[in-house]
Amino acid sequence: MSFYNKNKLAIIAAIAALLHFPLRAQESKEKPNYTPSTGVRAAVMGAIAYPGIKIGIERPFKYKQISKIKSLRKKTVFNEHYATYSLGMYHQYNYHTNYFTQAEWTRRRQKSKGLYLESALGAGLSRTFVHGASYNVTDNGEVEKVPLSGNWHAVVSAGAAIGYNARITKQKPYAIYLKHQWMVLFPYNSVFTPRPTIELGINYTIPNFWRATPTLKTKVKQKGKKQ
Amino acid sequence: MKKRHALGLLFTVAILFFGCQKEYFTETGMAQDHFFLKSGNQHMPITVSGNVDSKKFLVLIHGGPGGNGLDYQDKYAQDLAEKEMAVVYWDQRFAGNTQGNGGSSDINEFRSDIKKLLILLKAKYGADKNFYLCGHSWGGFLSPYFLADADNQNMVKGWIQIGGAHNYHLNDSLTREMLIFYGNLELAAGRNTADWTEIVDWCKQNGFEGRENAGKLNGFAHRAESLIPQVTQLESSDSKTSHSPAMFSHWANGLASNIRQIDLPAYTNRNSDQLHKIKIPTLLLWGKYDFVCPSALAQDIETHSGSADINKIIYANSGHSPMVNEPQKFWADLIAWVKIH
Repeated sequence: MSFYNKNKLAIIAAIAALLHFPLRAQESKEKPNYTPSTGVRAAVMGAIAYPGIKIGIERPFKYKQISKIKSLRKKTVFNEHYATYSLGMYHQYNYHTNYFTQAEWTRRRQKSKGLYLESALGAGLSRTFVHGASYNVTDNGEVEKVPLSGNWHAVVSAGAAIGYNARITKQKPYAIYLKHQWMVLFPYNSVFTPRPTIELGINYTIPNFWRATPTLKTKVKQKGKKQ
Repeated sequence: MKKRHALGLLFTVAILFFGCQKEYFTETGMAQDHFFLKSGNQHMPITVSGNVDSKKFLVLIHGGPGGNGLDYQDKYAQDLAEKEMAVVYWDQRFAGNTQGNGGSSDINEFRSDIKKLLILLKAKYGADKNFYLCGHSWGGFLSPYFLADADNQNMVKGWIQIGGAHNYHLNDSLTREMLIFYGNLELAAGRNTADWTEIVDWCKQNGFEGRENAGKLNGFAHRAESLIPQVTQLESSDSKTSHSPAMFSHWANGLASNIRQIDLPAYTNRNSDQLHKIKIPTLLLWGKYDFVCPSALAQDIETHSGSADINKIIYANSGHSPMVNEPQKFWADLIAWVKIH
């Protein structure tokens, strides 16, 4: 073997050694640390002026495991995507009670210590019932009571939440979260009306309930280098 | 399956609980009733608050367009007026906390709504009760517009006009004149010269006709009132009003009112030529420094009204809302007049 060939082998060995760790990282992505699952959400929601409740279900359909490697430390975060369906209501004294159903696309950034941040965009339907007896006066001057008086509205919403997922570190089947959301009801007298809400809720995972198999993608980031 | 049934039952009960409201109207004592008038697609809230034993109901037609009835329910209204009579705080269509999915915003609908409101009040509180129509600002356009039509005035015992805009055309011309007049006085006195120079210069260079000029004049008028030292400004705690249930509804309706230009027909409908039809007792309450609806409008009503019983009171330290600037005197005068009519 010539000197040149010896050196060539040494260079190849060195490159193989350098690539060793990333190759291991690539291997690890085949085995996700955690899989998001279907959860049942229940929350108290509304504002000081209009308390309410909201129940729903969230189902993951896609997630990405991102491994961040910096020297000897490795951090893993998950970018999760859920479809969320909710039923809710709030009651505002002397104004109305609003029942609504909502479908949301929720994006969640789940950190390895359990904390998560999420944003959600939604659309739905609402039916309000005015809070108070409602009367109609006919052309003949007769007064009639109007039962279940209220309006249908379309709803769009945008919200952001912070939460803690106990499944990640404590293997408990729940997460708690605090969410701020703006619901917009329209049409509302030709325009729209915003309804800001705060939601404090729990997201419970029932074992084997409506099992989801979200698609997994992985990504490894090493010292700011994307692979 | 059982869980599903339970959930369905809970939902139905909740709808019935919140959706079907009890029918309750105070027959004696102090009322605090809340209900709705549904007219077309509009659900207009009504709060009746105060002494129903008096058999006298003051029906407030609020300002705006897009104002709010409960804005008038401050501590003076509660402590003074509501002890002596029942006060009806009503939100017009596309105003305050009125809910709905649109519908017509024609001024004829507003007139029809006032009629429906009075029919409803008589049906629920008794035909033996006496009602007094009390318009402020934009409500001062709607009130004579309602009273001069057909035999509507027979539904009420009296008309109270507070800084009302019964004639937009005249109103705008008077506002411009008043701004120039007091502006020059204030400039001569060396007070707030930068503000008054801007106001007076604009008024001299522009006319009063057209919605754009009217809007500019209205803005100056509100600003001018705050520049006059004689106008009493109350502490905010004194003028604090009842909380509007939904501030975003108020905002949305204000926006809708602007987009729909609800008061556009008021620029051509002058009301003055219809005032001779109004024969009922009339009380005119005006602030001397009301730049928004100058007190010369009260003179126009005196001149053209068909009523033989007209009283006028000008408040020396008030602007557009004497119930805010001089509430004790204002309510004392109003209550005294209602008692004898």
